[in-house]
Amino acid sequence: MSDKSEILQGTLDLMVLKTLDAMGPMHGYGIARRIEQLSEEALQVNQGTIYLCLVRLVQRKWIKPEWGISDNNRKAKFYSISRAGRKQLAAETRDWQRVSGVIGRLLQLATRAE
Amino acid sequence: MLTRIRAFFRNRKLDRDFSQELESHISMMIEENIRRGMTPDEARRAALMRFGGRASLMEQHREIRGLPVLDAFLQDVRYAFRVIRKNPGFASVAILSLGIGIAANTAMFSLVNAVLLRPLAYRDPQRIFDVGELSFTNGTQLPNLVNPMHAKEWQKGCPSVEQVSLMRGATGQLSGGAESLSVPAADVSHNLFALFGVEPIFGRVFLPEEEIEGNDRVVILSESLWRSRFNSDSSVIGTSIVVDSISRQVVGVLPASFRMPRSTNSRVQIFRPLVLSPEEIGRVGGNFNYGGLIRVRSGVTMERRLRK
Repeated sequence: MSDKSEILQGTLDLMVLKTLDAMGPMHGYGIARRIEQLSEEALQVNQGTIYLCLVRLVQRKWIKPEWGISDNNRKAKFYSISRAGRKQLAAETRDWQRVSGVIGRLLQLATRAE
Repeated sequence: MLTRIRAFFRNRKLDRDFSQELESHISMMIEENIRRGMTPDEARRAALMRFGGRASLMEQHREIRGLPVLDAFLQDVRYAFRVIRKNPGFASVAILSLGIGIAANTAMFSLVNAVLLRPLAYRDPQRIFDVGELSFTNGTQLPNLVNPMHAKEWQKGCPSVEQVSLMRGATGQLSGGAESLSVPAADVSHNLFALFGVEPIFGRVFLPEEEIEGNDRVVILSESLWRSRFNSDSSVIGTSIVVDSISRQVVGVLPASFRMPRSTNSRVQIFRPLVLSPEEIGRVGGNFNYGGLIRVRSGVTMERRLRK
């Protein structure tokens, strides 16, 4: 079995928001599959955790739920990102890029020193 | 917060919704697994394994969306009911103890409330005293039993005593009208009301001459009796009612704030003039049947009054 990376709550939020922003409204299963695919199966989320994350995002009004029919004619709840959600996504993306930039430079320094 | 409160009340529906969402998620997983070549059984097992415990998921879902404190509390309550139903003996003992405790507390409070906490609606209450007499034969004190002759002497002889008033408790039978009613009554000296400083809301108090046999066919009502039996009819003054088969004219109504001393639960509803027949006054050895009240003159301390 591949090693399951532990995903922090905040990170999962960010990934869900990005998925919805990029792919449009999706249901819970679709979101989970998408995240798995994008991370090339490295991130195997416990499928149930997605839903707890979704509930929190709905509470914060960053995504909106809506009942609909899935491709295979199942009744499913579709989530779409809200305007507040998009703003949050942009803010968090900036933070991440800033952090990864700093760490990246730090790592480069270390290699050169060797 | 509001959504949480709303969510709490729609718990069952929200649970059902979530359950359905999970169900369709799992079926989609199973379909995918079948597409990949698994058998339906393998597909289902694999899906459930990837999914994790559903019960804990439901609980976590409820925690996030609702009021977990209230949820936990309700769960405890339901559990308590189940346990109680299984142990009726224990439950009845517990309930009985609680009941007795509450009853005792209530009784004590009612008593304290009536005796201590309700303010006395008298004018200058610190100058009013309830008096009793000491019997010299055996040195016991008879609480508030006073010989009316002695009372008259106090009025005349003690300079520190401003007013002396007598009262005698009784029960009056009101007849006529709706139905017969037995009420606590008091026969009082005419100056009792003045002693207390209470003014009637209608009519007047007794006159001195009404203490004489023959002139005493009058009665004063309490406000509660006036409201309940006489329908708060202000024209009741002057009408006659029958008390203990004697027709008496209503001359006044006393306010509800006035309470006779020593009457906590049974409030006196009717007042009649205290008629002391010569025989009663003259009885040798004294007739110790009356409650006595005195009002001392202002500025008189307890000790001075006692010395007198």
